[in-house]
Amino acid sequence: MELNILDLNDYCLGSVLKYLELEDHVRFAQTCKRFEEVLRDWSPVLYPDFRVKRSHDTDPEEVKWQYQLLCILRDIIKRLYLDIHQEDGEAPLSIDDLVGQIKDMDSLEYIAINEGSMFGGLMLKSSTPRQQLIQKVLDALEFIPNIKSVSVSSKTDIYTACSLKRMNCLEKISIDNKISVDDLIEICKSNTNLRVLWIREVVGELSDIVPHCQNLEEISFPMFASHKSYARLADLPKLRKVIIKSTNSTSPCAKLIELFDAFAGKKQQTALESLMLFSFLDFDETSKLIQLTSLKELRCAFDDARCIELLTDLTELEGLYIMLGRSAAGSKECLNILRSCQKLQRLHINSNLSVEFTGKALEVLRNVRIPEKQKPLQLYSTGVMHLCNDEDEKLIDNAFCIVVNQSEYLRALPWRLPN
Amino acid sequence: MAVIKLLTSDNVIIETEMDLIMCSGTIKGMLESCSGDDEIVPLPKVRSAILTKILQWAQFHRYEFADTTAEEEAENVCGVISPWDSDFINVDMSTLVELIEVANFLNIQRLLQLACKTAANMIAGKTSEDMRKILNIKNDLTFSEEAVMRKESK
Repeated sequence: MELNILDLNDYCLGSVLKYLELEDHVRFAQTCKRFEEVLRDWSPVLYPDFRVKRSHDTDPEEVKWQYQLLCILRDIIKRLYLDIHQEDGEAPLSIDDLVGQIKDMDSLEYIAINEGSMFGGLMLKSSTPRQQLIQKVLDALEFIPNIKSVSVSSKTDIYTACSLKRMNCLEKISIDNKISVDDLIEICKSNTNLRVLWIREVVGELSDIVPHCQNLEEISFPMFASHKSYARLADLPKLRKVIIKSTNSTSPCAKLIELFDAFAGKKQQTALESLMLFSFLDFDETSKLIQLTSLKELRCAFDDARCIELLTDLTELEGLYIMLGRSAAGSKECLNILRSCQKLQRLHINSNLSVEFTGKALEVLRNVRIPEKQKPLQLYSTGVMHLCNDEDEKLIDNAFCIVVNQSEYLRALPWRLPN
Repeated sequence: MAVIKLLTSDNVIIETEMDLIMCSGTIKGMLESCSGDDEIVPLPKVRSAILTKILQWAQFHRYEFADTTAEEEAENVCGVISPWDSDFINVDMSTLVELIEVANFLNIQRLLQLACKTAANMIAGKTSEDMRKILNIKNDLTFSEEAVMRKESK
């Protein structure tokens, strides 16, 4: 019996697709209907983030193939990333064609728009093709029924604000440029279900948004000297996660302490359980931080290893991620954490904790943990990474502790929202 | 050395060493669920000719499987095909399709990868028309559908 490739099931055909390039995928889909269906079925695996990239060194051919693939998958793409670095000048593809496709993306839930420029903001005029493209894409978002998440990094900040104000079903927004608090309030008012807000620079008093975003669960922002206070953020009833990208005053930072106090004062009402701090904390700041005893997740940076010792009060912690200015410290303090924070599931620290530490840690863990009821502690530390060898995870004693060789929590914060 | 009997779709019984066929996730699973010794494992989807060829492949690679998990193998997407493998997989289209089918059914990830990679190499960089010729498939797109694609591809 002669077998034909069409006799294969969709899984096997998809397994062939894994070894082909983008332009082969397009031609494959154009071969026959079955192949087109298979490519569409496999697109969430092959293109979890559909990326349209245009830069001065992008091959025009590549742009063409990207566009054709977009046409084939248009109505099923859920996540789109537009990376527009293109220098102004001749475009290999008309803006209106691309925008026309985006308008028809009925399944689109997430879009990230990145406008990079080699020249910085000064050289840009709003009439350039690149900016026209971004403006038209932002306008097109209004026509997309399922869009929930928008991330924008663009010089067209006024335009961004205008179009986000016109939308009303966004749940997640990241704005990686300057925005006025008045615009932000308008955006919050129209998008009443806003749950996640990441911002970079707010002109005006950030906490003025508080009355207008009562459904907010996560906020990410840098602290600015020009802002008076952030304490009102503690009034947000659903706020679970706070990410502070930086503080621009020297420690101890009064605004930060005030914010900790505000959350501590609302202990009964607040939903706060996750705090991600990207600037260094000193001893005084940490002493205030530990009032937040309901925290389940904490990322922080210290110069002084004694601060780690203070964290032993946070007995609800499940995830703890520490950047330490001085490496090869904190071993004794970390053991104390393991003793008191018995719910801990992840301890990540960029310190050269020794192999000796893992031995002592195991001893502690054996005393305080019940392996039948608890998953093993996930440990990341630069000093014990060689225990991982080539494998992703190496067990020291799989009932109590697993060593991992990377930590997503200790990396820099991206500008566009994750899933 | 433990021996296992496999019954193929064309009613041939093939005897093979147990650890050789353990590269097949499917057979491994079947053996774990049944306890009796000297049982015959029926493989109604596998012809004896293909099984023999697969055992030949398993024999050549038998000492490589020791430490790799299925997940690690699945990640090994790129990578070159070794001369032995490329000689082994140099077969007609029908046999290649059958190898993919059976490697999938028996859950032999490395063989599935090898066969799929080979199929992919045959059509990589080819036009749709060439792909149809190589794979022997008919163009069932309507004239207007193709016209749309042409237009979009400009």
